[in-house]
Amino acid sequence: MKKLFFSFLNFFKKKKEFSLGLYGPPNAGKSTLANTIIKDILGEDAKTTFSTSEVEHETRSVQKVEELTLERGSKKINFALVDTPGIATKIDFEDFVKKGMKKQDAKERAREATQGVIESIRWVEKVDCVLVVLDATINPYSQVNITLIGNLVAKDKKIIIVANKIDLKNASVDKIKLVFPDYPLVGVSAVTGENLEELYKEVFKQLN
Amino acid sequence: MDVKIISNSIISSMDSTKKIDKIYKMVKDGSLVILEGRLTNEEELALTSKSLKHVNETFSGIDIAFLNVKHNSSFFDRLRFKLATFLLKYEVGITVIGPSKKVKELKMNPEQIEILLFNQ
Repeated sequence: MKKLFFSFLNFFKKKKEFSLGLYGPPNAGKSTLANTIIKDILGEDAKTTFSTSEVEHETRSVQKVEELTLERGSKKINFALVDTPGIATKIDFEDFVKKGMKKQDAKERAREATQGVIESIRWVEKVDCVLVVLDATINPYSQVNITLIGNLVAKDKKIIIVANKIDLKNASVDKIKLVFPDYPLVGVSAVTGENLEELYKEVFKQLN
Repeated sequence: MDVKIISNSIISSMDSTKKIDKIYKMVKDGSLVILEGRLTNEEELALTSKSLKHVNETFSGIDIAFLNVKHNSSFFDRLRFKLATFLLKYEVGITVIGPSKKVKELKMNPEQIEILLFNQ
């Protein structure tokens, strides 16, 4: 009877789906990384769900792909990948106008982007583990990054810092390590898929 | 530009909502706020959310930066800092918060904050 009870518990334990969130400032490559992970798991033909752009705030609402399974050797995790709008403290429609958008479209994009940031902040509660995606070509010492990571720590979330864009010449993983020395950090290229295996190893470590 | 320097003793007696409302109002009115100490992470995010909710053509949110004393300091300095934080009940340092239509950038590094303003 006891054995049956534990098998019953294990059945549900195995079914547990973790929620893996991608957070970070705008244009750090969160959606590109999400697409690369999905293609890596589901195959090259998998539909890439997340739209990407060089113009900031392309992702303006939280998006989720469920029922993903990562399997390496005897290790296996089921997870949902949650892509979130970039966290920012300011959004000016004029910045979009400067990038060539019409004034009315720029205003609408700014409105959606502000709602997206607020939604991102609220969604922190719902994720189990967070990939904090930072652009390794940009100085990581910003109040937004410090506050975001501090907030995740306060909420007892598991964190992996992802130094993205290591394929670019001026990328520096060490600079990010210097600013955030207390957290696991992996340098990756979301565009080329470089070092994705290292990232998975860290995800296994955090979620198992 | 109007600069308001606020002592921690003024806001430490307020609850988070009142504190955020007070800072938000000053920044929305165009002031640069220099605050003794630091808001909590939750308060900073709540201030960000509140500001973003009110973004329009004349207000595009805030710029925020915190300068503390613990970086690159010796073991004893860090110990003193922890003791001071414990006794004062707030993180020793200063927070700069400004309206991003007026503040072009708050350049942060562990030693200083550089406030770059737009030409008015």
